Amino acid sequence: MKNLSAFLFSILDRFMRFVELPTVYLQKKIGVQRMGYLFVAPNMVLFSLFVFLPVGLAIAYAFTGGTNMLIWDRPFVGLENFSRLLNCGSYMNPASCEFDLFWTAVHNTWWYTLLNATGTLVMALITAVVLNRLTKGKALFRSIFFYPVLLSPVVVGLIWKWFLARDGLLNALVLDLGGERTIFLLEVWWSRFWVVYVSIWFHMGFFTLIILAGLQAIPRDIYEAAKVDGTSEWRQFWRITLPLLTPNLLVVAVLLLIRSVQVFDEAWVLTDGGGPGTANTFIVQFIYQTAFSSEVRLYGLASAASVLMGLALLALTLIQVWLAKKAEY
Amino acid sequence: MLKFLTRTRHHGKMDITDILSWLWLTLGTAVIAIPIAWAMLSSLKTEAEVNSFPPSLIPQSTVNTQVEGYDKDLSVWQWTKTDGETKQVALVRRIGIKATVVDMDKPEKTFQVPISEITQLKDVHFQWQNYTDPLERFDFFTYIKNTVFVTVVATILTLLLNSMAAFALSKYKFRGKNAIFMLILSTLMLPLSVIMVPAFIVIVGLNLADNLWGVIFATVATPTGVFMLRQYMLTIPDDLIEAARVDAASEFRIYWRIVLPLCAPALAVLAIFSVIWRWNDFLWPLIVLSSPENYTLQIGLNAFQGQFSVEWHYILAMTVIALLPVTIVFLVLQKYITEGVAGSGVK
Amino acid sequence: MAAIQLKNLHKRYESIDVMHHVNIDIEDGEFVALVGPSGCGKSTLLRLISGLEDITSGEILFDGKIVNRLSPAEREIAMVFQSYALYPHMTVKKNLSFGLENLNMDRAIIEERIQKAAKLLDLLPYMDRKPRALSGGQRQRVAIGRAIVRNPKVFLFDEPLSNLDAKLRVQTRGEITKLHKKLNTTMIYVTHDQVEAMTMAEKIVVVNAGRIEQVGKPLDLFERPANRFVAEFIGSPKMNMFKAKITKVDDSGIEVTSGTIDHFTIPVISESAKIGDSVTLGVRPSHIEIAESGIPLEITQLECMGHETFIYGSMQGESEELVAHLPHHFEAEIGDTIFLRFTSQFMHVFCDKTDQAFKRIEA
Ligand SMILES: Nc1ncnc2c1ncn2[C@@H]1O[C@H](COP(=O)(O)OP(=O)(O)OP(=O)(O)O)[C@@H](O)[C@H]1O
Ligand SMILES: [Mg+2]
Repeated sequence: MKNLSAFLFSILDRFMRFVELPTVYLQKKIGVQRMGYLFVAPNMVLFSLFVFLPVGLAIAYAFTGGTNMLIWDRPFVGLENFSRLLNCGSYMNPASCEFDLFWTAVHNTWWYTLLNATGTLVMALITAVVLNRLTKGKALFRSIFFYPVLLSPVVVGLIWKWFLARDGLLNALVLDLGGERTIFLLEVWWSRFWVVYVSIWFHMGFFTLIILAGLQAIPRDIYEAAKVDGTSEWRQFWRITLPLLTPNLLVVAVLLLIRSVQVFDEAWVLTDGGGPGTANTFIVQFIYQTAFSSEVRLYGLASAASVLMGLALLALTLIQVWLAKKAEY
Repeated sequence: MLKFLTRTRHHGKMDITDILSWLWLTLGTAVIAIPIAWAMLSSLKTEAEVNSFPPSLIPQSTVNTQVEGYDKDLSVWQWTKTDGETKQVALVRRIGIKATVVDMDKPEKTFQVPISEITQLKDVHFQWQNYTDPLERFDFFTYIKNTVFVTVVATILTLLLNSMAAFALSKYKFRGKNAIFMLILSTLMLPLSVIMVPAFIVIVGLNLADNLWGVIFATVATPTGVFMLRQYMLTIPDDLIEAARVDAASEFRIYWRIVLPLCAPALAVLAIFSVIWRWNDFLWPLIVLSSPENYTLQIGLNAFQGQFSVEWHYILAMTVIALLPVTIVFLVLQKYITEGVAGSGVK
Repeated sequence: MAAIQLKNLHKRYESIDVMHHVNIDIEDGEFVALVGPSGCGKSTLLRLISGLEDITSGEILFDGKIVNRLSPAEREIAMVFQSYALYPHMTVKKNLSFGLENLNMDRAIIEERIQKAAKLLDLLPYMDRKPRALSGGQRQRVAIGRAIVRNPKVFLFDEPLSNLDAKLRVQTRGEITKLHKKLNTTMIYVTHDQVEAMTMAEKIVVVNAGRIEQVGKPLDLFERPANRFVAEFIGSPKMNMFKAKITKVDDSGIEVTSGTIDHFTIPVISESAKIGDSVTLGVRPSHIEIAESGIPLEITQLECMGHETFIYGSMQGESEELVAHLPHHFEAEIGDTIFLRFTSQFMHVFCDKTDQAFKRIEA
């Protein structure tokens, strides 16, 4: 085994000597310090292709129309995509809009974001505080609560779809308790509830971990002082923990908002593409459908929606950066 | 166990807060575990049982037996007589509330019993075919192969490319270094969902649509990886690199023989994350890949459940396959993962 | 082996000049020490010579050839770092062979060189250990070994002993000197410990704030410091300094008067000195003698080590405290007054305007 790995390594090393040759030449040409450019180059090429260029393209496409994919085949339409997206009788009523699906998605995303962010924050905070109290078994429970984070959206969607199915365990329990068998994911309000519930279930562990790190950063002696004063634990939480944690929580909250706005994967799998009807259709799904899964691929319109969402996220990000800076002091 | 559960921070009586805490933890664990456990259990049930309601907890199957004089296997039932005596019988047919059964020891004679007096016998039975069938009869083997390919190649490239960039950003002085670093960091804030349309157009432009390399290339340059590795490399003394320079090592050799081995702990963490990310990726492969022979497991599974939405026994088995690698990685490396997340705030 | 010349060497980082037009000649096979206070630019100078750092202007010549643009490897230098900079993930053996492998040397030659160096430095028992499992002294030796195996033209040392304890330092000092005798290779050695410099080097370069203050043999620097900085920097305890005025200038020297010294003639070349100029007098603690009568000193502190004695005291009319070093046993009480005698041949005079020393009239 050891011999084998040594052998493999020697082959790899010989190969790397080969790769090395041109870099040695380059190093002589441009000098040692400028070799930094060579080392960042592959990364920068990929970033340019798949991040920076798309950002530029998103903006460019947002101002073009038609269904051609190549930008030079697309007519410039100015702000038309935006104006059509924003063309509404009343923003409160998606049905009055030219693109009612977009506004339905905006409304759905808005409510989802609000509920999911609040729910996750509260649950994660409670869990983190409870975990932080533990003297034993902390690592174990931390792992348990974190585990769902590592699952894939498809897996999570399917696990819950099965759990909530007509023949699922939940219905069996409900029936057992004398309730009525319900097809949860086909009822508008139930499905919305479960989408939020599953999201919280899915992502809570991640935020718990971050809040927990914040809790552990609070110096122990502050609590010791309070204990000497005979402050009750409940009071300690409200008077010490929460105020000291607030900067952290704000950052987490904004992060949560940013993530929530992008809801798509697990909800999409869980609700079979945003159903029932459009009850769980969110903005990202709208963009995806507009660009990829509708008969006519409206890249311009999808890009315009992306740009709008990007701007919202940018605003949130700026708030987050600002809060994070403040939290450092 | 009880002692462990009741241990408190005060080394004394449990107070109300302790009770509430433990309640929360127990409830939370149940809420997390039950749906997963349920899916796992169900994945081992026969098709008939998956579709029966109310469901049984443990995967079971009916017990059948061969009885002389009958062509087909008969199901075995437990007959509880009115006087409390029990006996196993084989069911021949059912009419209304009466069942015609046969005593397995004396197969010549059939007799009738009320249905209310018999219950069907069941055995614990794991339907492993749920796992093997989709691999043989559907494309799941291809999906898994594709996913492994993407995961392995993307992870190797992620480690190489990001460590190279991190090396440049931590150990060299060149014009524009800080600008490049800020640029890379800024992409941390830019989610795929915002740029998925133009990113796909780029993929089409590169002729990588419906190609696994299209999935790989777009994901290997990660700001998280660059950032994490750069932080780690900053702790490697510059002296070491200069010593290697004096030792006639070329810059590339310094990277390959000095810096990479020394970054092994950070590379390991990034590798773990990369494997999990790539295994779980959904939205991007969904956009890039269009023909089933190129699907990754996640995409394939999603497509399958859309197409064969009643075949829950297969869907669930493949769901378990999809969560298994991640689960094993987590079980073995949970410490690194939770600490990595807490330390860098990435997931 | 190489002779090294630095010509008008200048180095600036962004907007700060850290090396100001430095000129040094180092002969082939010479052991040169660079000394100076922390932050004066010793390491920078060494790194410029090594090629790890680019020079801003000027020339570096190895054996008469300009090497400005050559890499460290091409200059064929070897360097021992203060932190040793051993590769933590490689065994001692790998540490020694890495540099040779980089040169694509033959396996057999590599093995032979390693064995030779390891024997020389007593490293054979540790060849398969990682640096982590070595003591400070052993690491040190590996670092030197790594330099030796490459048969460099020049050895560069950057404070190689500062991480060792006092005893080991003395020992290693001796070993490096021996090594130099044996290999006869040019060595440049940075240290801020002047004892190291005085005992090891054949030539000392005193650096201060990016400038060369003086270059010379160790005893030259001790006996004939070119300026106040060198006078104060070399020698421990520090040279005693006090203010004085020139009262007479002639061919036999300069006559000075201060609070305690009256019309004292010191045999230095008077050159630009004028009567009335203020100067600083310097006298080393070890050049002060105790006498029956002379300059009175009130003892404020006494350190008796048995074989030597340090006396601290104040002289009437002088603000600075004076230190005297006697190479023998001496008994006194704090508060006692003793009498000192200065010998004019051992006194130094520094011009207050330029801080330069007046040259001594050699006998
Ligand atoms: N990369 C750099 N950028 C800017 N200034 C630098 C850099 N490296 C060194 N300097 C400055 O150059 C001066 C000389 O530094 P150098 O390391 O040569 O000092 P030194 O004599 O070796 O000190 P020490 O005895 O503490 O090692 C210092 O003032 C230092 O701040
Ligand atoms: Mg230094």
